[in-house]
Amino acid sequence: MQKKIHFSILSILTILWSLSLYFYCNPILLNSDSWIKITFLLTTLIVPELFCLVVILSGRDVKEFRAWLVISFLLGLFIILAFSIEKALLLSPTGIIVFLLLFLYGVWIGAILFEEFIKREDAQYLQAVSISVAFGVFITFIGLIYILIPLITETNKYLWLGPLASLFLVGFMALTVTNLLRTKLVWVASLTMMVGIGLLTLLFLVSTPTLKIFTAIIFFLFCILGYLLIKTTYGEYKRKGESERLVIESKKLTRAKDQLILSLQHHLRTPLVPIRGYLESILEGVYGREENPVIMKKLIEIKKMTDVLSSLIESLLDIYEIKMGEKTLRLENCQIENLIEGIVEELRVQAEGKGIYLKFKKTSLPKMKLDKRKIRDAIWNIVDNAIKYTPKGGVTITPRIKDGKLEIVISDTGIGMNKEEISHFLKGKLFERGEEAKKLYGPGRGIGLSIAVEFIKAHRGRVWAESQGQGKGTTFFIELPIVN
Amino acid sequence: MTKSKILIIEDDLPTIKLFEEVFRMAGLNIEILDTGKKGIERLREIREGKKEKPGLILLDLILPDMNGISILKEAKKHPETKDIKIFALTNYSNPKTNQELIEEGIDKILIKARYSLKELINIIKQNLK
Repeated sequence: MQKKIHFSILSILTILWSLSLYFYCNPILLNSDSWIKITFLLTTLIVPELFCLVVILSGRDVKEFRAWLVISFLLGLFIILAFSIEKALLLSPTGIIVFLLLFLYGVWIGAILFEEFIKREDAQYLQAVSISVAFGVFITFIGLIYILIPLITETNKYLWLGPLASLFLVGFMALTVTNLLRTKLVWVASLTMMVGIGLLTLLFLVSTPTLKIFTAIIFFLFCILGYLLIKTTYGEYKRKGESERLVIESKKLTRAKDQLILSLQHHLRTPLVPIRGYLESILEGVYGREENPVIMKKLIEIKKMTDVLSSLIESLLDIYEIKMGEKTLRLENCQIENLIEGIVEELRVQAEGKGIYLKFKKTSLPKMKLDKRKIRDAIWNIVDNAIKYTPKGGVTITPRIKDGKLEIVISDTGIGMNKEEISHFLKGKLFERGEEAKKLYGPGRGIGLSIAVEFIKAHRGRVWAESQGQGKGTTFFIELPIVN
Repeated sequence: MTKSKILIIEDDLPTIKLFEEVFRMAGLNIEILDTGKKGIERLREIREGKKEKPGLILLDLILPDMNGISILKEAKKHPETKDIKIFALTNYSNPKTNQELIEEGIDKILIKARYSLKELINIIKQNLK
C-alpha cells in the first residue's frame, strides 16, 4: 500500500516537473525564470520521494532514514530561499548545490540497491536489478542533458529532453512496482490494442462494402480472440504470482521449523544432565553400594537408554545444524576398525538378547580423518536398525577398500526392504519406518537411518541399500573417501 | 595451599543440586550463583577486593535475566578480572554463539550434555592446576 502511495506521489511530481521544465523552454503565464524556480522546487521534492520509494521497495522502513530526509528537506527549502534572492541559473553556486544534493541521493540509493543485489534473491533481486538499471540510465541521461550539454553548447535549449528521461524512469518504475512479471501482460494488452486500432482504421479505409463487411468480421473475431488472450495471460500471471508466493511461504516455514528445533536444544538437553549425572553417580557408588543385583541391572538399563536418548538428541541437532549449513565437521585421526569394534561390543548384548548373531570381519584399515562421533553414530544407527529388523539369522559387518574408497557392508538376514522403501531411504527421507517394519514391530526408529545418511553425506560419502525383497534380508553400504 | 574456588553461574535448579553434590564430593570448592545479576555483582566485588578471585568460572549462557556472554564481556573488560579463566558450560550451542564467545576471550566451551560428570570433573581439575 505504502509502495503505491509513494509511487503515485512520485508520478504526479514527475509529470508536474516535466510540465514546468517544458514551460521554462516555452514560457506561458509566468516568465521562464519563474518556471525554472518551480522546476527546482519540484526537483527537491522528487528526489527524496524517489529515495523513499527505493527504500520501501528494498523492504526497509522509511523511518530509519527520517533524520536524513528532514535534513535534505531543510536543505531543499534553503535552496528555494536562495533562488528567490538570486537569479536562477543552472551553473550558479545554488545550482551546483542542487546537483550535489541529487548526486548524494543517487549514491545513497545506489548503495541501498547494491546491498539488495548481494542479499536478496528471486523476485526482489529482479526488482533491485531493474530499478538499478532504470536509475542508472536516468542519472546518465539527466547528467548529459542538464550538465554536459549545457556546458558544451553553453545553451539551455535542450532542457526539454529532460522530461523524456523522467517519463522513462516513471514508466520503468511502474513496471517494477506492479511486479516485473506483469510486463508480459502489459505487452500483450498493448500489442492487442495496437492491432485492434489498426484493424478499426482499416475498416474506414477500405472502400468496397464487401471488404468493409469482411474487415468488420475480422475485427469482431479479433476482439474476441484478443479478449481471450488477455484473459489467459492475466490468469497465468495470477497463478505464477500465487505459486511464487507459496514457494516463499514454504521456504519461510521450513526455516522457522529448523530454527524452532535448534532453539529446543537447550530445553531438550537440560533435564538430561541431572538424569545422567545422578545415574552415573549411583552406578559408581557415590551414594553407597546397591546390594540388590536386580535393581543394579535395571539401573544399568536405564543408564543405557538415557545415553541412547541423549545421543539421539545430539544427532538430531547435528542434522539440523548440518542442513542449515551451520555445522562443520570436527575431523580427527581415526582407526575405523576399532570404532566398529566398539559399536559391535555395545550392540552385541542386544543381538544376543534376540538370539541372533552379530559378526564383524575385522581387517586392518588405513588411518582416516573423520568426525569420530558422527561416523560412530552413523554406523551405530545402521547396525542397530539391522538388528532391530532381523528376527532370525543375524547381522554381518564387513569393511573393505574398494576403488580407493572405504566401503562398510552391513548385511542382515532380516525382513528386507522393497524398492520404494530403498528409494525413500536413499533420499534421506526415512523418517517413517518401512511398511513391513510397521506391521512387525511396535517401537522403531526410522529416524536413525536418516541420521546415518546425513552424517555420511557430510563426510562426502554415500549410503545405499540393496535387498532381494521382503523376507530376504537387506545389505547396507557405506562408502567413505579415504582422507589421511 | 587453599583450594581455589570455582564459581558456577547456573540457573537450572536440578543441575545446581547435582553440581553441588557431586562436585563437592569430588573435593572441589564451589560456589553457585543462580542469576546473571549476581554474577555481575560478584565481579564488581572481586574488583573492589571484597571477595576472593575464583580459580575458574563455569558460565551458563542462557540465564533468566541475561545472556552469559554479557558476564564474560564484563569480566574481560576490567584488568582485575581479565585473567580469570572462564569456561562456558551450557546446553546451548551454535556456531555463531561459539564464534562470539571465542572473540570475547572464552577459555573453553563445554556442552553439558556431551560430557559425563567424571569427564567434567577431570577437565575442571586439570584446569585448576
